[in-house]
Amino acid sequence: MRCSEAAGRVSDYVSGELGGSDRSSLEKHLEHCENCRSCADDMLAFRTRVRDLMRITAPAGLRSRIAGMVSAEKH
Amino acid sequence: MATAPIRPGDAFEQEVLQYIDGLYGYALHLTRNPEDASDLVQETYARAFRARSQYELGTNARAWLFAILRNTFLNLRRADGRAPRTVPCEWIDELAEGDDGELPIERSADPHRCFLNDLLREDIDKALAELPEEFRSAVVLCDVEEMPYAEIAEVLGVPIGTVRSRIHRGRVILQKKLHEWKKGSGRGSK
Repeated sequence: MRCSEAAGRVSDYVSGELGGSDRSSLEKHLEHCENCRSCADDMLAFRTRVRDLMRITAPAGLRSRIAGMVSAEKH
Repeated sequence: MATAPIRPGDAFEQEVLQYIDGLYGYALHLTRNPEDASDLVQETYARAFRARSQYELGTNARAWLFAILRNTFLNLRRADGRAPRTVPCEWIDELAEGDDGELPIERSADPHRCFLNDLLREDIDKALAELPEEFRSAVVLCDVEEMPYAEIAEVLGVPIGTVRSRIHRGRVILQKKLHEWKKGSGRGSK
């Protein structure tokens, strides 16, 4: 696999959406190509950081409103 | 020990209520306002409860709910006369120009780790807000909600290939913006 081909698959790989022979071909390339491996590692680290920073809990007020709605629905 | 029988309504409620945090987070990305986001989530649940007969227990409640939320948001925007922008392909091509899948950074682990550690929630929030809705939704559903592409396709009502492309381009544009800001152009958080 060439670097240009690997670059087009790294995003799917990071998303966990690359399977079968595509995945093994890319992983084989990443074992030997420091530049592409660094790119994949960076994208994965970025994705993890975005997830960790952007996860949020719904406010208590909204939970109460929804609970009230559920309760009202039963009566 | 005998357990109380679960009424269908209870099972439905259990299934849909577990997604309240994710729905609120997504609503916040769409509306950019906590009160509007709460209203949107409440309206989503109201519509879901009204349409419960259309939902088959044990199928994909998450995709169903997120699709209701997004469609409700888009319909409200249209009703307000703020129809969502349709993004010309050329514009996105221009934004992602030179995109060959690589990140816009030096190829060394340390600068990237520093960059990541420096990032604040508000930086990512601002950068996401500047993405067109189609791209923002795809990136948020994939990277924050960790939905598989097939589920995102269901929520957005587009083919998986489109989801793949939007996520890839959305990530590249997002990272380019964040790198530019962090290099000291005066935008984003320091």
